Amino acid sequence: MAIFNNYDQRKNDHETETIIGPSVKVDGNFKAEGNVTVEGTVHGSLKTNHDLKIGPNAKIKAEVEANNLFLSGEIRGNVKVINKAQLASSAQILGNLETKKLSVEEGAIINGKCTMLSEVAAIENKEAKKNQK
Amino acid sequence: MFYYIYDIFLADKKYSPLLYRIEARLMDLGINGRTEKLTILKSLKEVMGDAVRKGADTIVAVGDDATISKIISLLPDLKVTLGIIPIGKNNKIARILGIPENELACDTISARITERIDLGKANNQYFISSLEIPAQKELIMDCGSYRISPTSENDLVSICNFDTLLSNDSKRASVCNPKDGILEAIVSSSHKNSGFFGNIFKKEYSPDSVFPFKKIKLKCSKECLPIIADGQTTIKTPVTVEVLPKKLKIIVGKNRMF
Repeated sequence: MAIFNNYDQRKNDHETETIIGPSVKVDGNFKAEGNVTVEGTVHGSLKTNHDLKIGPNAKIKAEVEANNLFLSGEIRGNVKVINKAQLASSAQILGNLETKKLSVEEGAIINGKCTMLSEVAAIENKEAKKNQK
Repeated sequence: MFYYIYDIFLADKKYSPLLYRIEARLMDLGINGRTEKLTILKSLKEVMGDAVRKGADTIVAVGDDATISKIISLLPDLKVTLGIIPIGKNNKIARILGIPENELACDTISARITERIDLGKANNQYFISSLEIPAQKELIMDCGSYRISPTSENDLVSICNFDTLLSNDSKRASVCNPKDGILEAIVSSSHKNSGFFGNIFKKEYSPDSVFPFKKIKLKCSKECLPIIADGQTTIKTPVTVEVLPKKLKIIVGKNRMF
């Protein structure tokens, strides 16, 4: 999984990391300040300004928002990625995807509308988020 | 002025030679001060209040993790620095702080490298290292906008300021930093220790889930769950846990794990 080797090199950039393991369920609007790794279950919404890695056995039924997404599991819900979405061969998105850059391995599934954000739209998105804070 | 508080268990005669060596070393280093030996008749609260009134600026806990835990519960209200001379078997806190055991700790006290570290507060109980909670499917960790619940009953749930699961020979990095103003809720799965005897006698835990937070509420949908603070004090759910950033000034060793 070249995608995840790449992720491991980059994840040390941020100090706080949330790991949602296989024996844990999260309900509600989850928002993290650092990188997030999901191997368990999330229902509601999942947001981070940093990187989001979703493992092959994760069960996500949520609206997802992240700076970069590394997906090898399933997401049921709309996905918004500010920068780059990388979908491994086992990845499934059952919802709409918005991203600036997209990399898809053979076998990945996207059942929904895929919108590529332009550079300007991505910046506008980022600024709108800052203003909301 | 240094104020040394000896725990009750050190009254045992087998510790006399060691205490003599410690006192001699403190004298050599010129950091000897007042000594107070705890007994069942002497309340720690009185002893510590007395120490501060007499001008102590450094209180040194002589004993093990239990000694530190008892002192921590009173220390945040006093403006003093904490030092530790670890004696006995249960010295996980001192190990994380990089303080060597027995008379070797005197040199650490003398070198006086101090750090301001976070403390945890569970209801009205302060803790320095962790809270341990038996995993239950009914346990809910409420962070306000979201709730975390373990799905397995074999896991260990802990709220950590220090990474107490980290051993000396551990290859993984610590997931906690007691200086970051954040506590971590950790759900760890058990796996048997490798080796024949390890398989039979010892369970090891490795962190599967890590949630950094500043405030969290622990509750149980069924009966009250016992939560153990620093391996000593039991608190019952519901418990509100919060971090008190940089609340404690403590003397650390150069081999500290953070």
